[in-house]
Amino acid sequence: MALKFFDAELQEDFDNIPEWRKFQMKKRFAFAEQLRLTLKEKGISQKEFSGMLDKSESEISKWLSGFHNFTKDTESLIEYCLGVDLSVLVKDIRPEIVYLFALSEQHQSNAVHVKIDDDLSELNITTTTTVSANSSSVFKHLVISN
Amino acid sequence: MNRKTITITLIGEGDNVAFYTFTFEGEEHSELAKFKSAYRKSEFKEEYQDILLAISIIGDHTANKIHFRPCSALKDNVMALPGKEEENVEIKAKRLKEDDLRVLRLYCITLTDNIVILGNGGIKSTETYNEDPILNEYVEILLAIDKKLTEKEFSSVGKELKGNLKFEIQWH
Repeated sequence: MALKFFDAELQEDFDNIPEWRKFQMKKRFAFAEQLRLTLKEKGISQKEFSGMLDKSESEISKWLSGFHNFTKDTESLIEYCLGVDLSVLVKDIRPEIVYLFALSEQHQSNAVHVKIDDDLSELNITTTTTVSANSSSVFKHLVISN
Repeated sequence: MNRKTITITLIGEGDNVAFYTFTFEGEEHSELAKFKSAYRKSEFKEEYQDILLAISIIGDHTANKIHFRPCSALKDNVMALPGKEEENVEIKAKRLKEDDLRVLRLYCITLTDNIVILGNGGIKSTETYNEDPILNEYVEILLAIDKKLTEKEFSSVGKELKGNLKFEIQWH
């Protein structure tokens, strides 16, 4: 996300939002984008779509805003009615999982953060253990056993 | 009739959308700053964060009206950014049972697909914003600004709003 606020507190507030929540919002937006695209491709108007699902047009507007929190059941219902798998595009939205490497407790200062797309083989990692998810960011702890 | 002078300033910028806000003459804080101060550490902090997330995503895509909630049936550009959109049936039922209809709204003007003017907002606990005198005034102020901005005294090139960004508005 490239947005910059020219107000230090607003920027701080945005930066402090947990990464997993940013990821959730991106997924919601991507799902709605895919839904809009599919309706357009199939030539189905918002009104027709609301009729197909027996929902109000204002409800469909909320869905298409990009910020609606769909339940799995609603997602399935939409996919069933449209006969498509809307999650295909959404799968391209991947979390920016950060791997935290720690050689040992004594060497915490040597810990490095690596993004998911980095080539782990170059870092000579042999053993991986997923430990926990941090509240402010999705972490995977990869512990190297020497 | 209320009459005040405002100054519009740039407050944030994404890849495709610029966000402006405005400050009343003689006041230190912009309307968006007032909204921020009221909610950043409140019980509505999560909804405040959701609004920031929505601004961020819109900033990188487009300020097409589809991403906003219309405020009225009128053909104006005044819209709302919602906080949390909850579909969880149990939470919805619990809130209905407790008669808790409170949601956080930030009101704004979607001037073009590239320019949004963010105003003030608050907790909407009524069916419509105009049942709440405070929220109603926030929207009336934005309607007055929208009217001025669409009187062709201003122009925009991409994300840039051009013209004299200090002017007087009137509202009821």
